[in-house]
Amino acid sequence: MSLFTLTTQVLRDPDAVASSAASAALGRLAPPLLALAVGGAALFGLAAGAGSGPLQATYAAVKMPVLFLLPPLVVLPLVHAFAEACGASVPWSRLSVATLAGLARSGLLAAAAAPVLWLPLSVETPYHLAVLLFVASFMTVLLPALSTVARAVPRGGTLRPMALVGTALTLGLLIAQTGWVLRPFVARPTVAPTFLRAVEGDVFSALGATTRSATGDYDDAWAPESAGVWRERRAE
Amino acid sequence: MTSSTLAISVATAWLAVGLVVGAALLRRGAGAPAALAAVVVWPAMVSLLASGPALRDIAGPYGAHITAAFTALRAAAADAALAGVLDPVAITAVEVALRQADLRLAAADRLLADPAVAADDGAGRLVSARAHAAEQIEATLRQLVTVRVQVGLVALAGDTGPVRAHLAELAARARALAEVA
Repeated sequence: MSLFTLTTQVLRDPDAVASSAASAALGRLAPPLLALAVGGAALFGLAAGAGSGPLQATYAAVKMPVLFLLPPLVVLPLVHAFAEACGASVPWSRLSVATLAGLARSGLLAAAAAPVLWLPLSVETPYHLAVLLFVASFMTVLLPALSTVARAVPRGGTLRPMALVGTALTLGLLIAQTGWVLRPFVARPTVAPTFLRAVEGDVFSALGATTRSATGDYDDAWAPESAGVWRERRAE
Repeated sequence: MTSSTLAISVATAWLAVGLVVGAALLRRGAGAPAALAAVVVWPAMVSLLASGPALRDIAGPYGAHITAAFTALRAAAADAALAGVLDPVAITAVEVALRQADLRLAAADRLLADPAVAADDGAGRLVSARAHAAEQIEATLRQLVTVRVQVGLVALAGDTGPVRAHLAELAARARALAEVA
């Protein structure tokens, strides 16, 4: 199957690709699906960092495929375990192909969304608004991957919804914190381009601060006092 | 530990595991692209190490017919107008059962090729059982063509019931092949 044919099939009917449960199919499909996912994610990263100059765009293009692939792959055993525990048994090879097919579909969507993201980021959008825009775009392009994996879990288990919700929550947390560790994708205009920032705090405290800053509240007292999800509080 | 050191350490460990998985896949006869993909996405590929050689790679006397029949059926199932008519899991179940029956035929053929076995008094029963199993495989393959005809009718009439029933019947027949053998 050519890459073009596979691209068409991933866009039109990812479930058909995901249903190729045989091991031979996994070995055959994994390389082109991976290429689609990585290529699309890199383009998305390029668009996210483009507003901060070519160096930051390159950094973001290198890091984005990692953010795209790492959390779903790390959480793969958990998805399998959740499904088994909830009575919806799914073969490992099928889950793997479904994950890669979903990521390929999301990669293609990310590539298509790249110009849409690039446009507002290239017209001097305020930094905090740009970060929120990037996070929202990233979450949107990742939805097809989630839905493809969800549909790969067979119907029939009485607790299937619980398995899917548990998986989505775990994956969401993992993606959020991985993105936080790999930041910046959209760099601050006053800071020189950097590949990775120092590990400090966590994604939730930062998102809260960014949301307030986007609405014009730049009160430093809201800044995280120290690392940790629960340690942010307004200073007296 | 700085963020760069942390990132480099995690990436190195990830790729090191990936290299081990990729090398193991190469030793098991997987293609270079698959092994290369495994270096990056090894959690998704590690199941290839646990599985034995693919059934389709060890064909019996009906291997080519089975491959052709299921390639055609999957092509029909992939048609956008027929989405959801054929359950891919059910198709795979029938294929696996047929290929296993085909492998048992091949094993019987290898036994019968031995003159000592062929000359034994019980060889007649083995020949008869082999012929019966072959007949069942051929009947199942013919039914697969009928399923494709019914899929075509579904495209026009929209009633998926008969196709699902036929596929369920085929799955039952395929499961029975093991008992026949």
